[in-house]
Amino acid sequence: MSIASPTRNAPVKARGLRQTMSDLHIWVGLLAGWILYAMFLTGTVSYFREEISQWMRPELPVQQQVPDAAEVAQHIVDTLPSLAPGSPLWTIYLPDRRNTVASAFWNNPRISGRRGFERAIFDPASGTKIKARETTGGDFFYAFHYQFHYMPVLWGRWLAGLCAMFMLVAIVSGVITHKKIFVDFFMFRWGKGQRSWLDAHNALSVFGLPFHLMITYSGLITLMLLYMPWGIDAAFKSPAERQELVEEMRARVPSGRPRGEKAELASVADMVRQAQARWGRDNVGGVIVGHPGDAAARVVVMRGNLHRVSISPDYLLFDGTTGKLLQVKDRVGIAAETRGVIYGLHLGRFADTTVRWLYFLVSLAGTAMVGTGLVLWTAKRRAKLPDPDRPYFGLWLVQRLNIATIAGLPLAMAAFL
Amino acid sequence: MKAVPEKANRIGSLLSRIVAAVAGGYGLAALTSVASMALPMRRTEAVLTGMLSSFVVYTIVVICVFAARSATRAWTWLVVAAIPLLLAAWPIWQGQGAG
Repeated sequence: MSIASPTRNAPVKARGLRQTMSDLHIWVGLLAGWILYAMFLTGTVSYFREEISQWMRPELPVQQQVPDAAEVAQHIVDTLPSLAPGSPLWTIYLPDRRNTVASAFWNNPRISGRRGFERAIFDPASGTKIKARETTGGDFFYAFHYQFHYMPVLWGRWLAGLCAMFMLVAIVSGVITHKKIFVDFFMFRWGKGQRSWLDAHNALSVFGLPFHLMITYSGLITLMLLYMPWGIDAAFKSPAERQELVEEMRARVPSGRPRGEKAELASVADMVRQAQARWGRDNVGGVIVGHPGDAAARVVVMRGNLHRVSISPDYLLFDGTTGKLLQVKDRVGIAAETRGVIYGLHLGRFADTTVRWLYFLVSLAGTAMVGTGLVLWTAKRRAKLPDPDRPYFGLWLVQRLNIATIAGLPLAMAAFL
Repeated sequence: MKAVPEKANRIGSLLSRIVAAVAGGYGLAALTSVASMALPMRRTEAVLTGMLSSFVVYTIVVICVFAARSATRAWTWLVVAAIPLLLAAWPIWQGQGAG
């Protein structure tokens, strides 16, 4: 955009840092703004992912009380051999306060590749598979938040990462630009066009600043293995070495071959009860069974999200046939735990109802921050036009895109519900 | 007419900064993630530390590239910052990393 002012054509003097950062903030914000707006809004509603899913499937039973994890796990383990015969790995997620059904997924060994990936939801009381309508529910917004649905998954994730970097730069340059960050926070000029948009933009940004910084940085951390794989590539030469790293990041059944002898699985309910004794009745997140039905079976019981922010692996490992406790994994390295906490902060799964609403509100403020920023861009340029009703092409385009995104997206999302 | 080369100059310098910020920034961030393997800690820890800090490095580089007085200076600083990181990362690429 060339808005030729007389001083611009004169030999360029070194401009002040604040002016440079302001320009950087404006352009970085504009370029990534529409996508960031979509990421912020879909991310915001994803704090109620489970509730949206429940709302969109009213045929599912309403939960009066969280069912006993031990019984539910046993029911599902009893059902799975008929649903997933020959699968080397079952992953089961148990119901909690927000999710009324249990779910499981596994690989069908007879179908190779991603299509062999199967999943089902279960009635916690009986362990039988439930048929509910085909809807992605709250999962749609959750996945859209970083994959955008309309493009290949990997492209979406890279685009999300790029926009998150833009956001991070926009935040830092915005703070440098903003001189009187504290005083301005208490100032609002109503009905003054550009000034009002600026004040709104500032208030929303400063109000949620720590959150905006955290959510942007942690968003990058959630997919850092995709964005920054170079350290891993350089440090770990063999898959076995890489496993060491994976074990610092999520619960998994230790790799091992099946023995080839059939053996009954010991009582999973008993294993879950041992976990409940450690973490509390309603604080078991799920169960992973490796090589079910084989003599080398292993069972992992994962801890739930209550009373902890981190998503670092925290689990009990059992011998699947004897039911003996083999390992208690409850700590990881400092860096791994740092990652676990940052990741956990982004997801907010630990949040109770109050904290969840706070998350939602600040995140909504973040959405509005991006939205007001976009409007501000046009308000500022419109005011300088000789005839505001006949904008030049760039301004016209930004105005149209603003309306389409800022108003259109919430409408589309409401329609999806 | 001096205005045309002047303008071309400005655009060239801007483009140069954008490349320095986007590509140079990512390069420096990636180098950081490898160089951190030289830190005296367990290898998995060092890898994670490197990844966690790389995005901070990226952000700082972008800000500095635009804050620099000229595009040439920005590139100079990029190279200067890359040298120690390269020295630290080199042995790791050669497969004799610490750990």
